[in-house]
Amino acid sequence: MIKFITREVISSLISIFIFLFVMFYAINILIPGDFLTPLRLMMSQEELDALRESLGASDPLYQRYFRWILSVFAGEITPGGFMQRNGKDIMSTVFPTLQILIPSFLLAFNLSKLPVLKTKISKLYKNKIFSDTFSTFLISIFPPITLFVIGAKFDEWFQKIFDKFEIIKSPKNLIEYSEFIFNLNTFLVIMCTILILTLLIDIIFLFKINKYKTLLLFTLLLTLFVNSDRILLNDVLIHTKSAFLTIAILSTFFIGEFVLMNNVIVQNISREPHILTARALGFSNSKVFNDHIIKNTFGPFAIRLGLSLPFTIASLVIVESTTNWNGMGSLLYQTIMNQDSNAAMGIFLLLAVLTIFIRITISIFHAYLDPRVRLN
Amino acid sequence: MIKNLIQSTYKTYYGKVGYVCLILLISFSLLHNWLLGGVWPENIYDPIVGFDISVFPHPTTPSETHFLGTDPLGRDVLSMFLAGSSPLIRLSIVSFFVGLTISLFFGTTIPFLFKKLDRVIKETSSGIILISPPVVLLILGTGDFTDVLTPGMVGLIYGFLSGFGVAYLVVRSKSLEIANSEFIKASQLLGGKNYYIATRHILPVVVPYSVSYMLASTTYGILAYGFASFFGQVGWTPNWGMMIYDAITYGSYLGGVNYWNLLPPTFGFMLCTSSFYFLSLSVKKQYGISI
Repeated sequence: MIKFITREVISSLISIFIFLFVMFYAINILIPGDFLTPLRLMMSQEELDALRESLGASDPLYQRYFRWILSVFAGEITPGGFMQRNGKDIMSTVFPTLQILIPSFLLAFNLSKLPVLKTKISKLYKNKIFSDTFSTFLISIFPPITLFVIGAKFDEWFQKIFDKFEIIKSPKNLIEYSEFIFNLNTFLVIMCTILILTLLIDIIFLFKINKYKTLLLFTLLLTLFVNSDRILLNDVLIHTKSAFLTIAILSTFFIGEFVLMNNVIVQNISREPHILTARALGFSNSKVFNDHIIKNTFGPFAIRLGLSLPFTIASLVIVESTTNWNGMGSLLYQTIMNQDSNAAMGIFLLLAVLTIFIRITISIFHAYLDPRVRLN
Repeated sequence: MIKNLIQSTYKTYYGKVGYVCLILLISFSLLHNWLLGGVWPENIYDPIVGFDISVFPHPTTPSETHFLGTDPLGRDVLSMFLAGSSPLIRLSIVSFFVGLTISLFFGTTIPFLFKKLDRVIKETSSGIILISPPVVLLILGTGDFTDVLTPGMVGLIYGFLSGFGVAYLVVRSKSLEIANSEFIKASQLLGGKNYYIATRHILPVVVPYSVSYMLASTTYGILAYGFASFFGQVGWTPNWGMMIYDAITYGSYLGGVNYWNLLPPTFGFMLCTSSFYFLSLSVKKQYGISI
């Protein structure tokens, strides 16, 4: 297992290195100007050239790239003297992105299993025309349209809830709370809501209560209770309005993709001889499903998920910039628009690390479940 | 092989729906060319600079002269809707064939002919896979490349990134899996050259994988182009993203959104993305592709 993880990490580091190299060249060649360009309003061209020279902004690109890599190792992801956004600004977008990405994945994953779980084992090999068509419809909805359709409704619902429970933004200055505590509470509120939602879906559609989800929900609620007070909770709840809107749009994107993936994978597995044998031996539907189908779906699903991670990142950029959620996606959009190449490189680095982290986690989990992957 | 693919996918429900959507899109494009060629006066029905001075104020509701009404800038919505299909068809076709060619050529030949180079290309491809095409479009749109970003060029970029990224990795892994098959060993024993084996024995088996991946990727390419056009990053081409932006932005300035401005491009996007995704699904179903 250690050998497997080492191989994955080394391969991922090479990928990140190549990716950043390509993006560094792309940004510096294709976007006009550099991170010093905004100073042209305050300085003469000569002064700007001198500053550019002293900061090494006129050096060949490969030198600047390696200098940037060295500074990343030294802990600064947006080096270069004048910075429109510094490393701290960029790092502060990681938590908001995770706040919407993890719940969206969780919600989409839970909902995407429903069409398969509601189908009889004997009919799993057939095409699920309705759910496939509906999923394709979900994928093809343009995010600004989703925002337009549900945005006003969301505002209305949240306003009703805020009015009913007298939730108003506290007059107390938020600076009294650290940004981390605020973000943590936001994350806990979002996760608890999503877990409650998924538990309700399980109860309504599958008539069962998942004990792990329930345990996780109680743990999160306890953590929220310990870490929060009424005033902070009010501010957090008001803040979560746009988070839930972003999650709704992002989940719509993911659900369509995940349902189609699940349907195709399960359909192919249900045609395999070992499933037919299990059915012929008279195993119950739940036994065949839980012991022979679900476990085998993880491999192809994990591979497909790993391959579609760049599309996930693309979805983040599209959805976050549509809803103005202050995550990595919308910041990347803004930095590119503002020609802030240093900050853009910082976000690319974080996005690459996030993608690779998710990919390695998926691979390790896959290897843990499937000995064939581990031994190869 | 392509004929076989078309025949087998057409047999499924998904394939039929996909082809119907595709034919509809192509018909829209041809119909627009025909209407603008002689039936519609260009100064009124041009999808970009057309303006009907006999009607005021704009936007107007559907009428006999403008079947889907006019947008806030006085352009005919039906003309804009029909014209919007052409760039996406061009983008999709270029993206699909570029990606298919790259993934099949590199994915089947490199692992057999240049084994040392294969490792390098695999790592490069793993790096390229991280590059998100909408971000590339944003970068190009921010620079002085807005005029260069034609649908064909976007298709080329998207095809290259998808073909050399995800599709290449899938085709490569499948090729290496097939390389251990008995019929390949038999072919090698009979004196078959590596290039011959790669192109004659392995290529036909991996074509459905590449086709299904590139069709699915094309769907995301359409959405990425829509996103870029929504934010005005693709220059003055008739496109549905811009129509949606105009309907939402200018519509709200003029007292609410006009649904006859908003629904046609939304329907267009659905039709276009669904056509390629349904075709991708039909290939997956027919050839038992799980990943």
